[in-house]
Amino acid sequence: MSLSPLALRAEIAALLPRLRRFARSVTRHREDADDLVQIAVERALKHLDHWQDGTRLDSWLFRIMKNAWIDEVRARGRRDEVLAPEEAGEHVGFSETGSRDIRLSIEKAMARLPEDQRMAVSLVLVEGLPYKEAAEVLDIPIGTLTSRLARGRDALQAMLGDGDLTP
Amino acid sequence: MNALTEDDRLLAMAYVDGELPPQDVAAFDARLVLEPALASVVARERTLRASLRSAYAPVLDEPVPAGLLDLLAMPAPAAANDPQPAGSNDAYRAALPHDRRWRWPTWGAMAASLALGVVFGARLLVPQAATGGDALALNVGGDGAITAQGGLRDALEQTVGGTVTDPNAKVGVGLTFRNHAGQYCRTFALDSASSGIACKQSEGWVVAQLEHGTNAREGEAGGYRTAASPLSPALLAAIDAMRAGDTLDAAAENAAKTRGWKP
Repeated sequence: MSLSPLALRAEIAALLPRLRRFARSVTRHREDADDLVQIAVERALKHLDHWQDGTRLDSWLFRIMKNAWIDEVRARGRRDEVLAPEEAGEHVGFSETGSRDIRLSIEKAMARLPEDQRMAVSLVLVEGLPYKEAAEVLDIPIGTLTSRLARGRDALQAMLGDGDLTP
Repeated sequence: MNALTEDDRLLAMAYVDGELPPQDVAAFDARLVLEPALASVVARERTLRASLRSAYAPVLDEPVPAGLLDLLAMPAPAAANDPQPAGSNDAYRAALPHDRRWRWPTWGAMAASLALGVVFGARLLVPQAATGGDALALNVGGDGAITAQGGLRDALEQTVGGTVTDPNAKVGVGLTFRNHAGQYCRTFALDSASSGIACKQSEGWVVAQLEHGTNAREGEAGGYRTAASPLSPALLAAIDAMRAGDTLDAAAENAAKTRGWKP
């Protein structure tokens, strides 16, 4: 049984908060994030027939977002390099307590990860996708995914130090 | 830092990610008891995973920009016809200003249309909290009626005098009044910045008004709407249109609660 386009629209609407969350970690900017979600939703609506019944709708949308973001980064060229300049040279670790500080530290550390590691970490650790799904979203073999995950995690641990991450 | 073999490093990661084959989990659990170095890596990975999730969890509670919701709303002709789904609160719905903040007519129409061909219970507007599971939800039924579920239903049933008993509650209940049908109606605010009015009917708390968050700017400042936030002018106008008599004080709310909020 396949979902009607109308039902798919409702399902996508229900996924919007998660799409925005993924976009936030991928783009690192609130405005970019919502632009990315918008572009991805528009693409998805144009190609609703491409979604295969029985596959995960969230993975399909994440994949569209990933492709849209790669297009965007290419279009911007090296402009991306100047993002997040304010924390250049700043120590990412934290000594202060409070969940907001921890949250900012984590967002900064994530922002410094290479694009491919950040997407892998975001899909698996934040979005909770199984390895198989995340690998399909990123169009990479599972072995490549796990190695990106390992490198991304090591980099995050190193940036965040051994501080107590719990609020 | 602990020196683990690369294999163990990947095993620890897979364990934390829930990716170990089920038959290998018990053996790995046993190793954790015996090998402090391995256990410490697992603990660090668990903490990192939990911290990442909680760092991005607030995004889920932000109101979704109306522009994004509009992309997914019903195609214009159907929305313009705005068929009033059957229900005892048609009058309230008809009184709704056609304001972009009031998402309900569009979603109501969508839900009604869905019922024609698809058996479908979509949970809209309130995503599952990152860690709270089904903490609260609004359910769109096949008849187009939105009923309160989970934490929202519990809060509507139990909150008296605006007192939120659960400090982690994601919902607040404000005013209580009776509508012209004698039903008890209560205003609520979700920390996703949605708010509305629900009235107790035989089938439960039916949402008569729903305002999807427009105060995104508040969220950016780090604050979230709480039950104590002032009601929007639109919601206040809706209350005035609906209510028969004054709002209830705490004692009257308690009495109504004791009667199960029955008219």
